[in-house]
Amino acid sequence: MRLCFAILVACALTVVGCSKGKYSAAKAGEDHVLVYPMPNNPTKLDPATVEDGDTLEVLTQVYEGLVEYNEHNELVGNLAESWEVSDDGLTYTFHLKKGVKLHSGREMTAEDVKFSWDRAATPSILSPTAEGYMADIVGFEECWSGQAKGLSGAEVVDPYTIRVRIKEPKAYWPMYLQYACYFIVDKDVVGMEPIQSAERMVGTGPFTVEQMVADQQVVLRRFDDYHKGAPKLQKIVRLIVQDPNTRRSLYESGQVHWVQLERQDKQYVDQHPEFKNQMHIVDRPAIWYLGFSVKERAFQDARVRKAFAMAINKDRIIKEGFDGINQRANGIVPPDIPGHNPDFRGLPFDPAAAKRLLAEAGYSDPKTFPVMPMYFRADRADTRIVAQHVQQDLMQNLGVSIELQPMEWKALLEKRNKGELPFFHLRWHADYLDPQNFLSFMLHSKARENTLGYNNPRFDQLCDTADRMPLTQNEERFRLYQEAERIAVVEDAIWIPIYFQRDIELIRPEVTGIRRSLMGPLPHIETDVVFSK
Amino acid sequence: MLLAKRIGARLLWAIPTLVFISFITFGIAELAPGDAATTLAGEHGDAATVERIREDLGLNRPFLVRYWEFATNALRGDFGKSWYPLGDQDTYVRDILRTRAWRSLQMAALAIVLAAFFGVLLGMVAGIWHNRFPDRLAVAFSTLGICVPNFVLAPLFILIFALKLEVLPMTWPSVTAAEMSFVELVPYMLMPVVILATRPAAVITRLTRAAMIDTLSQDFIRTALAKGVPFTRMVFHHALRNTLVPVATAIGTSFGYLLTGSFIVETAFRVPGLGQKTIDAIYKGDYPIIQAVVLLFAVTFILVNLVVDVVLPMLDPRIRESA
Repeated sequence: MRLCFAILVACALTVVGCSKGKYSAAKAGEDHVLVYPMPNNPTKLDPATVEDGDTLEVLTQVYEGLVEYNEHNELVGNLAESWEVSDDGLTYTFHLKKGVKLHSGREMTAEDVKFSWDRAATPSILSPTAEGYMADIVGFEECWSGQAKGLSGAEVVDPYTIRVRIKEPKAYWPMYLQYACYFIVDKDVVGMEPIQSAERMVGTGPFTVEQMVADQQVVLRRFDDYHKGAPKLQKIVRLIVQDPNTRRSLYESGQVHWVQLERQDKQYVDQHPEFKNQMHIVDRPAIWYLGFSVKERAFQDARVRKAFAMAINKDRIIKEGFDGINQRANGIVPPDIPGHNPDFRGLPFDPAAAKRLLAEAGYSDPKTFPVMPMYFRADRADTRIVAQHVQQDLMQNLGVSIELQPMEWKALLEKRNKGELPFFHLRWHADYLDPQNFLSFMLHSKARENTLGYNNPRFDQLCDTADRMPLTQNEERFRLYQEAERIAVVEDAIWIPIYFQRDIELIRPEVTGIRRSLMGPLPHIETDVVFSK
Repeated sequence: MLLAKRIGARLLWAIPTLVFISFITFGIAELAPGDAATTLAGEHGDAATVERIREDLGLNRPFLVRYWEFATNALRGDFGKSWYPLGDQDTYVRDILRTRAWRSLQMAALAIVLAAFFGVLLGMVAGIWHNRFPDRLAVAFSTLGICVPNFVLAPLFILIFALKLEVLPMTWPSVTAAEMSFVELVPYMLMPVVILATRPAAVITRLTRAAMIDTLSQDFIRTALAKGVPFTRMVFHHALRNTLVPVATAIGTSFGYLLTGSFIVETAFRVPGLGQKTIDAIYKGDYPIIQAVVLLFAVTFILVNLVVDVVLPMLDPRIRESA
């Protein structure tokens, strides 16, 4: 007994012996050093091959494009001072900003631009995004198949001017240029191999990579010669933290300054009133929707699809499932994207009408409706929340039972790309802020993303006309897209929009000047962290 | 001689076991959606690109041919390349295992020592004071230790020791760890190791307690006591020896638990060990790493069981004779 007691005391002393507060020193933090976590290692170091948002956020501190979105979601020049388009809409001329320094110390010229673009379109780089974003440029196919070296459609006029020819007029084409595969790299350093090490990550961005250790951290250091003036932060430290609970605990202890919460975690903030004024709700240009495949017999009748749409109570999903955080979606194009229609009401929640529609479609006894599987991504809480509510609503309001089919992400994606999902819950996140990216891109009968078999000539025609109109006629262009949106949602109910995504973030009050566009945080030029006041 | 024969037989048996396990892990990766080619091509990659990469990597060859290549390479310790390296870091699976496994092994060994020490101690105390307060306490501890899973303990420990008391660091020191000595790292390892040790300690407590109660009620103990052998000497010399067999067995079986337990604990505390990397690989579908880890675990299991089998007869002559 005495021995036992002695050991217990010894243990207690050991713990107390680790002096209190020794490991909370980080609470104060260092001035001008922003620390925030990311859930995984950067997947790629090369702007030509990056795909995921977390990595992109790191790379946008290092590399830049000719254009970017500003805080008002307008496309503005960045490395390009200005650009003009020819009358036929086929030739774009970009005038580059002078005196832009690359991290290597050399001035960036049009040769670097041409090199970076040619490089992204070269097959050995294995860019998964080049074909989607660059195929409009004249000569892309030849370059992509390896027959030609470089894009014949992109030519250097003089050191500060580059001219691009595209195959057919597309007013929204310059928006592609804000995507990472058009980012500028140093032609003398980078070469034609994929970028695999921090030393070769040479661009024009406000930060350079100081250190990168797998599963531990990425440290970015301020680039003093940045063309818009040196950023206020000295360093950005991205801690790699897989576990969401650990990320939260790190924030609680002050060791990280900024953390993203899961959307269903609002209760966490409610339980910690001290975080109330550190909470930020961030709009994302993303829609979560239910989709039907008309290749599936049961869903060929628009009345069935409409009945489903009118039987689902979106407000309840958002209120009960997401603490009212997300925004109810009536249409497809998210708010704040130019062309969003704030007056669009979509299909109403109306169980009685839904039942009538289902009866008209030949299912006066809802039990005769086949039990369909509903596919969704398995590893997320948010998709399950929606799926369960939908199942319940369809049962209660329509008498139709569905079977929930959670699936591993890759398997789900593969099935979707093959068009094998009759009924599913997925998200679409903007590649660029234009209705085209949500309507023509997703639902045009010839669109690569349309794996639903959806084919409405009126919808196609509206999209085709709008796609070709110049941005100067945006008012009319948006009107056409809005009509197309109405057809897809109200007449055909090929998608049931559920909600527009919003995320919850906690940001410490010491952090100031974070700028964002709808696409996400902008490079940390104005951001600062000051503890000592 | 007999021992050498036993070990030889055991090692022979290990061969079909490993072949079977490697075949299954390789086959499962085959059945799962996506392969190295679709991964390299990315989410937006088109079919032609995927096909081109597949050709380059030789993924179009028959299953058995590729399995043979995998198995023979694995024998040489070559498990190929990770599908998700960070640039030129963490490229070769072999290097990943080499750097990570050491950390996990260190923690597992510490946890085993801790668990054995406290488990035996608590078990002895409980056995000696059978049905009295120390026994109740020990039983309560071991019940809790077995029931409460790691993923509950980890956030609980973080909350108490890192956030409220602020006496222990919450996570691994990011990069400086490489420059820190083992002693300096101890505070960082304390929480993960204690959590890892909890369950094995609880199991060992129970086994020691049972063996102790059983031994203390035997005739030879009464005789020894009657002859005037001091109580402490009797406990340590006679009773404790009899508890060693179940404890040794428990250590062997716990080792497997520690390997898998490290998945959760290392992720929660950001320890750059094998467990964290494995979880990461499972989430991403990084099959070369998963395959290598499964095989490594299988080999470890076989070796640990072999050691236990060799050690047990040394501890207990009865086992020696029955063999």
